[in-house]
Amino acid sequence: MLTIAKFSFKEMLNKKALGLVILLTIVYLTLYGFGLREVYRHGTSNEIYRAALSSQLISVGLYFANFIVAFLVAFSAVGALSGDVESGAMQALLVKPIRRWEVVMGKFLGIGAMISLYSALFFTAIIALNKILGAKIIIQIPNLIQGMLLFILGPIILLSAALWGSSRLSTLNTGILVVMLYGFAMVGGMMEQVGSMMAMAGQKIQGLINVGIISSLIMPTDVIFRKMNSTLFTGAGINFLSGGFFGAGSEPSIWMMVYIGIYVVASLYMAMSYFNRRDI
Amino acid sequence: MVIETFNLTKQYNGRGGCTDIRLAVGEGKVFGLLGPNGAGKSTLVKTLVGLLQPTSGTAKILGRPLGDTGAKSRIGYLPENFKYHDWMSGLEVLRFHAELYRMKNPQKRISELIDLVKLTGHEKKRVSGYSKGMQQRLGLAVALLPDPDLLFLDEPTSALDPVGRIEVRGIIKSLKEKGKTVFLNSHLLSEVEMVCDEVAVINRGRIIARGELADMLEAGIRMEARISNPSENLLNALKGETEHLELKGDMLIFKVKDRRDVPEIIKIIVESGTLLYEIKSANNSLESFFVKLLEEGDRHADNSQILV
Repeated sequence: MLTIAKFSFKEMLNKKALGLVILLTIVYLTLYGFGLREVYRHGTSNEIYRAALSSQLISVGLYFANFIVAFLVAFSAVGALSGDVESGAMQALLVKPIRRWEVVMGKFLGIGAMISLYSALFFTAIIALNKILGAKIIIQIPNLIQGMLLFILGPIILLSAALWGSSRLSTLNTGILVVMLYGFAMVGGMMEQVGSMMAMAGQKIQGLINVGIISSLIMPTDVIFRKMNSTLFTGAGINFLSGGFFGAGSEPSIWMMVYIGIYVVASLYMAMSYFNRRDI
Repeated sequence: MVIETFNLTKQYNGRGGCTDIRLAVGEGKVFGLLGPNGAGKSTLVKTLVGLLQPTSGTAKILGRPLGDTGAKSRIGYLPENFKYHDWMSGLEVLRFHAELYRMKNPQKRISELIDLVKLTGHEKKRVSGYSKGMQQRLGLAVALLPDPDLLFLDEPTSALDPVGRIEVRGIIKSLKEKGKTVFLNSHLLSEVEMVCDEVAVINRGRIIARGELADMLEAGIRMEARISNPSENLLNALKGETEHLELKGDMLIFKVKDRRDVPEIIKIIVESGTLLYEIKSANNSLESFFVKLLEEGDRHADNSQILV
């Protein structure tokens, strides 16, 4: 399993997709940094206002960073199993003294390690840019670490679903599935936030909130982002990010976190189980 | 037995594949599986190496059930259609597969194999730049990595030039000398004829003939003799010595069971006073035997297995 994990990690380093995503990241960070510099240079000196503004800008930055990492997952994981089956490389692999579940888990660990490393660096870059360019950050270190872990968890959820798809579908179909699921979660999450904002304004729009909940159950990537926001910006008794499209107006419950754990394990279990029976 | 199958069947939605395969391949044999395109050769091999799940029936490889991890460490397999990860060099591919075989210090073995398959000088190049023939050579090196007791080769020379084909035949022969068992899947009859001890012919998913290659080539040799004015006595005398005797113009066509009967036939013809201009065997090659088998299979369509 570790051989496959090591191989998958190296394979990602050699993929053109990684180069493309790195380029995209550099362009994005440059534009984001330029924007931050302008905002913080001309912004107010009111400390509370600056802190609230900073939290919004960090949240926006992380939201799109999350989006870019999701693309990296889609590019690298959709063909993790099916791509090798389609090229015939899997034939030479599976006749070796290795169990099929080890191949699935090896791919998960290898790609997961790379995704985690990339996510962690991206997260750090967003926070560091804000800090350097004058943000008023009042995030406590434990919250920052927890936030980073939650930021990493989102792509890992997507990766587990991609591997499930890749274990039984073609690369193209898995790609469509993963992008659709991610988009669905994103739109559903925004709907839920709108529902929450309207509820705070006294209007009861349960339908919108339900859309968010259902989409979170189908693909919990957006909900984990909300949880990360909530973790980052709810500290010392103050919530600096209670609303907005990227906010965490409705924070996911602990049961949702349990559900996410089960979701990842179940996706991987189904991937291993199906791949074990699949004709190659 | 190194390979034993018991009514092994693999079908795709109830169709195609291979059906009711009963084979036994002994240690140290070079076994050839012959069949036309789409006959089920690759399906059978892929089922034996554990890539396809059997629909019914069972099989044992090196005394272990299909897919057994222990047996896999003693098996080499060269797939028919495959492509290694093109971002790796040939050397990296070999190192990666050596690691999968859990080989300790594989460098010496890797160097030997690079030399053996004639990839020296190309081993550090990326696989993406390899020709099909070079990929096949690399595939063969990967299959030979663990010095396997059983080697499955699925169309091993399909992408090779004539020199490459001769080299592969040499490798198969040297493996046989070392007592290794080789399962060769090919539609190249001459290749099978040159290296195999035993042969099975598969058509429409079923084994229609199997046996020792030497017996197959000897079984029912069809002869053609060009003669002039054969007497009734000659024809009667030949009927006792031959099978399926018929006269078509000046061509006398008949079958003998054994090649050793041919001199006696010639003697009878000559002693009868009939002029004999030429005599030749019409099917002394595996190709003729193979074609005839398939034709008979088409005519009878009962697909009963012939043991030669």
